[in-house]
Parts: sequence; C-alpha cells; structure tokens
Amino acid sequence: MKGFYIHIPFCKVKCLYCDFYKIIPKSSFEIDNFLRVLSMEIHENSCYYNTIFIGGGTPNILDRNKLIELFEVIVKNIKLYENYEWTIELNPELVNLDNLVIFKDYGINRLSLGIQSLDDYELKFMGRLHRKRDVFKKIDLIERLGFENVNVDIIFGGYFQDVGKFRKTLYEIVNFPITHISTYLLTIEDGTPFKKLNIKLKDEDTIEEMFKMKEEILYEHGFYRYEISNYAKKGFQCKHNLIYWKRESYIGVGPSAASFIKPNIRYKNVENLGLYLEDYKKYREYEFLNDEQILLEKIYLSLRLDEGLELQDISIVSDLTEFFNIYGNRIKPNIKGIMVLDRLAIEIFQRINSRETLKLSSL
Amino acid sequence: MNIRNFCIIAHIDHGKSTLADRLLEITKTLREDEIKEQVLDSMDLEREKGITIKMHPVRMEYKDYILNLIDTPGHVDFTYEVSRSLKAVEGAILLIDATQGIEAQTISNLYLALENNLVIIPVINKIDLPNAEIERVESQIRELIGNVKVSRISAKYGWGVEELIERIINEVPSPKTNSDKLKALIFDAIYDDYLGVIPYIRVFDGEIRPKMKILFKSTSREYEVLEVGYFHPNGRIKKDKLSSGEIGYVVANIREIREARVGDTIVDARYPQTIAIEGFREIKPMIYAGIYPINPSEFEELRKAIEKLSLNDASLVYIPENSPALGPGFRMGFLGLLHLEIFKERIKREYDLDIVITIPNVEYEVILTNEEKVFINNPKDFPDYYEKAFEPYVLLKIITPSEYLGNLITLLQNRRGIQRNLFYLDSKTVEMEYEIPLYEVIFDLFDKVKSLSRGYASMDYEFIGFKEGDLVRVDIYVANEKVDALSFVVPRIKAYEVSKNIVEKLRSLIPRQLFEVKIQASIGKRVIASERIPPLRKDVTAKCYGGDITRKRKLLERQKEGKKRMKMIGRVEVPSEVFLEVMKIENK
Ligand SMILES: Nc1nc2c(ncn2[C@@H]2O[C@H](COP(=O)(O)OP(=O)(O)OP(=O)(O)O)[C@@H](O)[C@H]2O)c(=O)[nH]1
Ligand code: SF4
Ligand SMILES: [Mg+2]
Repeated sequence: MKGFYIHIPFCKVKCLYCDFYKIIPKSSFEIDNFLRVLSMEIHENSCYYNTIFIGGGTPNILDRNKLIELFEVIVKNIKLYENYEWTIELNPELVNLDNLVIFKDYGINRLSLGIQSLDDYELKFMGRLHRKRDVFKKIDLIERLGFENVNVDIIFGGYFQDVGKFRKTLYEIVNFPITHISTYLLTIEDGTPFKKLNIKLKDEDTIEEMFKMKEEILYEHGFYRYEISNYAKKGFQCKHNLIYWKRESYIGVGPSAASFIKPNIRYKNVENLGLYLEDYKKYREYEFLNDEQILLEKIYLSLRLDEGLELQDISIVSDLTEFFNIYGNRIKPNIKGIMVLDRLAIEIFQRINSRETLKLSSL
Repeated sequence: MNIRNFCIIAHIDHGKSTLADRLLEITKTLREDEIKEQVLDSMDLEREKGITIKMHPVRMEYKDYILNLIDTPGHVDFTYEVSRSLKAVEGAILLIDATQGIEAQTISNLYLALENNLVIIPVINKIDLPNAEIERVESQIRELIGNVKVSRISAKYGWGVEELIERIINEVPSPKTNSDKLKALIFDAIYDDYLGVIPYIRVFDGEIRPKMKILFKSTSREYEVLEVGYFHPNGRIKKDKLSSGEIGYVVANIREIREARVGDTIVDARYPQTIAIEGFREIKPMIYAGIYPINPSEFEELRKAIEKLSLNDASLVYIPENSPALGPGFRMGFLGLLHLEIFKERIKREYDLDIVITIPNVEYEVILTNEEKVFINNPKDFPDYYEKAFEPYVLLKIITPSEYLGNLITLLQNRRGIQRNLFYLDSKTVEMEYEIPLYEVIFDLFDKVKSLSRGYASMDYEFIGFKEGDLVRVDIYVANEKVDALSFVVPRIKAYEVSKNIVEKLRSLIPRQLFEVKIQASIGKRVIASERIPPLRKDVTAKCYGGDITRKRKLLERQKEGKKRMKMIGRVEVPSEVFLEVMKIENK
C-alpha cells in the first residue's frame, strides 16, 4: 500500500483551535504561484499509488479553474491502482454544486466534511464559518450527487462544549448518509488562540463520560471504532489514514506535508509557504529513525488501532491488566486504557526496551 | 614594597562588592568600560542571584602602594569564607548600610575580625539614599565598638571612597615579617583541569618563586613550584616571585585534591622544620543530606564532581552511603540551605548531572541501650530504642526593630527556643539571643523571621553544643514501600503535626500514576498520617496529526525524557525535587 497526500495551505479564516499549517491567501496570484510549484513536486513523485488525500487548510477554497488545474496535474502524474481511495477535505460553507461535480468528474470517491459540531454557539466559539443549517444543506447536496463514502469530523471535550449538545450532535450525524465519523478530543496546541485564551478541557470524568456516550451511540448505529478517534461502517475504514497508522509508505506534497519511506525514513516539507516556493527540497527536514524510535512508533500506533499490540511476552503488562482487554498475546486498550493511552505507550515502550537491552547484554 | 592587605566584611547586601567596584575603578585596576556592577561576582550563580558566594581576592596598585583586597560573602552560610579571608589580611572594612543599620552578620563578622586582631575601619554605606539614617547608624556603631572614626560613603556613586583609600593606607598596618624562610598560608584553592590544584596563598615570611622546592606541612609532601602570581579581576597574572606580605597563587603540579588543604602551611623544602601557621578552626556542617545520582550508573561521575567542587569549597564534607530506596550515593554536610542550593546548582550546571537530594537533617548524638555513644547524620539510622538522644543547639541572634519583638518571641517559643539575652542597640533596635535547637532553625526560620518583621529583622546563629531531647524517627511509606531517604527525626511532641504536613506535601508533589498510591507516615509500626494519590485518569492526545507521525512520537519522547528525571521507588515514579521540596512545609 502506498499513499499520496497533497496539502493545500489556505483557509478563509483561521479557526481558533487549529494548528495545521495554513495562511489566509492575500491574492489569487499567491494561489497560482503555489499551484505552479506544487505541480512540480507532484510531477517529481509520479508513480502508482493506492490512495490520494487532499487536505489542508481548506482544499475547496480553490475556485473552479484552480481545482481543474490541480486535478489535471494529479491525474497526469498520479496513477491509481484499482480499488483506490481518493479523498478530499471540505469545509461545509464552501461546498457547492460546482465543485462537487468536478470532484465526481475526476474520480474523487470519498469526501471528508469538517463539521466539528452541530451547535451554532460551539461553532461560533471555535471560530468556524459554517452553521448547523449549512451542514444539513450540504450533506443533502452530497447525497444527491451520489457520493457514497463520506466522513464527518467532530470535536469534543472543550469546556465550552456541552454533554447534552454533544449527544444531540451525535444522534443527528449518525442519521446522515455517511460511512465514517472522526471524533477528535480537543487538544489545546501551542501557538493557537485557544492556548493564548487559556481555554480548558472538561474535567476527566466528563471526558470519560463523553467518550463512553459517543461509543455507545455510534456502535448502536453501526459505526465501529477502528482507531482511537475514528469510527466507520463495515468496509469503510479510511485506507489512506490506515497507511499512516500501519507505517506503510506515503508521500506528502505541499508545505508542511510529511512523507515516510519504509522502513525508517521520514521527511517533512517546511511549514512556510515562502520558503516552500523558494526551494521546497532545500528546506525539507529528514529523519532517519533508529530502532528505538521505530519501536516507539509501532507501540503507540498499534495501541491506537483496533487490532491492538501483539506482545512477545504478555507478562510485562501483568500489573496493567485493568487497562486492557487481552486476547492471547494481543492487548487492546479498554476505555480506561484509552483515556491514559499516551502514558501506557511510554510505559510499555520502556518495559519492552529494557527487556531488549537485557537480552542483548546477556548474550 | 608598601603593601596593605584588607577585606571588606558586612551583612548581606550592604554593598561590599559595589565598594570593590569603586576601588577597582579609582585604582585604575580595571578600565571604566570593563567595570560592570559587582564585577568581582564572576560566577554565573553569583551574578544571577546578585550575591557573593566565594571570597574574591584581587590586587590593586595605588600611588606607591599595593592594595590586596578580598571581597567576602555576607550570607550566614558562607561565614567560613569570611573567616579564612580574615587570616590573610591585617585590616577589615566593616560596611554598614545606612538604611538598615547594624544587622546580625554585621556583628558576627565584626567579632570574627576582632578575634583575628584586625584593624577595623567602620564605614557607613549608601548615604546617597533618601532614607539613610546616618546619625542613628553611627550611634549604633559607637554603641558596639566605642568611640571610633566612622567613614561615610556611597559605594554606588563613589562618594568618600578616595578618602577611604587614604584611611586604609594610614590605618591598616603594613604586613610584618619575622624571618626570611618561606612561610605561606593556604586560604583557598581552586581546581584547574590543566594545571591541577592551585592554592591561594598569603606569604607571611620569605618568598616563593618558580623552580623552588616547597613542602606542605600537613602532608609533608614536596613539590616544585611551576608558577606564581597574583589576582587580577580578569584572571591570574604571572610574576617572578611572591614575597612576604603578598597575596597570590601557586601552581606546582598538584594533582590530587586532598594534597592541598586550605589552612595548611607551605614552607621551603630545605627547612621542613619551619613552624606551621595556625590553620583554620575545623568547621562542622550544620546540616546533612543524602545526594544520589538519579541514574545509579552515574555514581562515579558524581563522585568526581563532588571531589572537584569540594576543592573550591573547603566546607563540603562527604562520605559514600547506600540507600535501599535510592541506591549508591553520598551523605554530605553543608553549612546551610543556601549552601546546599548552590551545590545543587553547580552540580547541574558544571557537571550536567541529575541528582536527588534527600530531606536535610541535623546530626544527633545518641547513647544506645548498650551505653555506646554514636553520632547519627542519617535519620534512617536513628534507633527505635535508646538511652538518651541529644540534638544540636545554636545561639541564635536576631536584630529587629522593637515593634516586632512580640511576634518574634512567640515564634521562638513555638520553636522550643530559650531566651538568653535581650537588649536595646538603640531606642528602636533590639538584639535578642536565644538558645534553640538547630532543627528548628534550618528549614524556614529565616523566612518566618523576615515575614513577621516585614523584612526588617536579621538573624545569625552559631553552634553551641548538644542538648538532650525526646526524639523519634518517623518513616515514610510510598505504595507500601519504605523510603528510607524520607525518614526524619522530630521531637515527639511535633511528630503528628510534622508527619501530617509531610504526607500532604508528598501527595501534592508526586504526580498521579497509573494506579492509586498510598502515602503513610509511621513511628515503628504505628501509622500516624496517611494520604492517597488517586490514579491518573487522562493522558492521551486523541487528535489526528495526519501523516505527521513524527510530531506525536516526539511528544511521547519528550514525556519519556521527563520520566528519566524521576526516581523509581518500587513502582512509583517520584520527581527528584520531591525530597528537597518536601521539607519546605515541615516546620510550622
Ligand atoms: N543606592 C545605593 N545602592 C548601593 C550602594 N552600594 C550598594 N548598593 C546596592 O546594594 C545592593 C547590594 O550590593 P552588593 O555590592 O551586591 O552587596 P554585597 O554586600 O556585596 O552583597 P553580598 O555579597 O551578597 O553579601 C546592590 O543592588 C547595589 O547596587 C550605594 O552606595 N548606594
Ligand atoms: S480547522 Fe481547517 S478550516 Fe479551520 S483553520 Fe484549520 S485548516 Fe483551516
Ligand atoms: Mg558581594
């Protein structure tokens, strides 16, 4: 499996919690410049792939002509295997018949809609431009155009968010004609307005309650968790994201995009449009992972996935059983475990790692 | 050669180092543009904290005179630096802040200087300040040392400093010589990675020059002198010789730190019988603490670091010890908490070692049930049963504006203090003297005294001896595991209260773990205080970073690094600062 990611670093406004690399374009000329350089980078990576993911930023900020220009470059260079998955991320307020038709024409077969909440107060609080009624309208349009694989993103856990409204949002989205739901626990990232405003999360009990509630409602309606934050109907797991999480190779183009070449090369484009345009290769940062880093990645990624982590020696977690369901040598975190997953990942890493060194030193 | 050797002594912050700046400026030892504030405070730590920690000798030339100045620290923990400096000079400038008047270390440093038969030049500083009370301070000084001439200066603006230099030249006696056979006192030493140990010396008789064979009296070891010279604020300056009366340094390929002890006398190897100068009074640490590397494999590095530091700091005392909870380490003696704090900082900065420091304690003298007498400086060794136990007492001096007297008397009573003396320095200022257990003084008495007197009172103390007490050892259990490094000894009547505070403090200091952690304090088998730390409930970033797997990994790697600075106690990860932090509440 091999994935291709394209980062469109433009948004109309910046949401207050967001720390993805994006800017508000100053002119259409700036976007043209970007597309020109991006095309070069795409061209350099011409090859067969299983998935394409166009993310951002806000990919559907591009107008009709620019979208066509971009898609032309993509289909000329990026060859797709059969059973491909091609996703584009969309902001609801910018979804319209025009761009949906173009997506259809070029073979995009999966849409990811950033709705975040279905409560207008919360949407306003987070600095989003769309409102609840936009979402309903756009979902309807999408269905009418026959997109069969659709994801929506929602965010929960901020103190400004309400448990009751969260429940309501959940009940509404499970009835949308969609196949996939990503539910992100709000993270207050450095450098974001939320950080500066000292926005807090809800207390631990409430977060756990919200987590359980969402799990229940989503399972009831046939959405199953296959990654810590992601739920899908059977057969609709996101192939592209699974490539990241299972440590398959992928190439990312555009500023801030990350790439991975098996088994241990990671690189990342610069998070600065000016420098990217100047010379995207020069400012790439390379990383060659050592064994410890690979181990840590495998552990934390596997623990987040539904398949869990296979241990050679299950006894190293014998004192941590309250956090896991155990199937033979495989451990899968339960809700209690998910709530402290970062800590567990480090703990297990340290235990496996000290075993390994023990083994080595006894040789 | 006309030499004048003198030091500047005072209570902390009265302006010693600032006066030194002016002296360096007026004597043109430094160019104006080279002078920054308190230029002699050259260690990073000194500059950051704005206090002098080490003595700083420096040589100046003025008219036909060589003026050797030693700037000294004012804080009570560094009195040993002052007392060694005093041995190398003939005179002392006693500086008194015009806005503060006489304070506790003014008096103790004055007595030290008088014990050494030095000529004292009393000087009132900071007369530029609008709240200076020159007349009042002058009468305080007269009250203390009789009818003397008192200079008035502003070290900051240089007022009166040239006249002060004239006074030094006129009043400080020139050094006397009794013989032409070399006799020099080591009053300090530093370690240089290339040159080895470099003793700082005051030559009393004869002279010392390169190629000469010298002998150290206490070890009887001989060395060949490679280099001698004196101190300039910018570094050491080589000379062809140092003669009687001079202050400087010797390089003699001294590799072992133990070979050059401060207080030792250097003589000409041809005359090994030359009588040694009386060395320094052996100083006893006031407090002890266990010092452990977080990572037990760094024990050797820690040993080397402590050895080197103890060369620059003659008052450090250390012996190896082993703790069931913390592994191999050292029990070290310190002169006070600031001293300990400075040590910790230097180990971290200069040697990049992460260490755990246990709760400091005092030393106990215990008569065991078999009549044997032992000294105990690690609480874990304090026996359950004993005949008699004695704890160290100090004579505590507090100088305070009289309006705070009531507050302070209550405080000292609660701390088991016994009043010995109380008198007025002038109509508004009282000096109080208390006999009080050292244990009651070391942790936070200073802060309490300051806050009860709105910062006006000052204090000083000296060890006077051991006195019997009804003492018990309290052990701390973390997750049912006894942590010997947290054991402490308290007077029985305070055991309950102190234990409760410590256990509470531990609860707030130990981060939540994946499981519940019980913390208990007990005397023998009896639990007298207990708390629980609820388990961690949330530690997860359930966010999608897209393909940026590195970012999340780095987040985890950072957390992992943080865990490295934790000490494992059984299953529990304890931050290394816990041991030091915990004492900050111990005494109410
Ligand atoms: N206004 C005024 N301030 C002064 C004068 N002399 C010193 N100071 C200030 O007093 C503070 C303490 O001065 P230092 O020279 O560091 O005092 P010190 O006695 O060397 O302090 P320690 O070495 O820590 O005991 C500094 O902020 C100085 O600027 C003076 O004559 N006038
Ligand atoms: S959340 Fe999406 S739309 Fe909002 S600023 Fe970030 S990238 Fe742009
Ligand atoms: Mg000073």
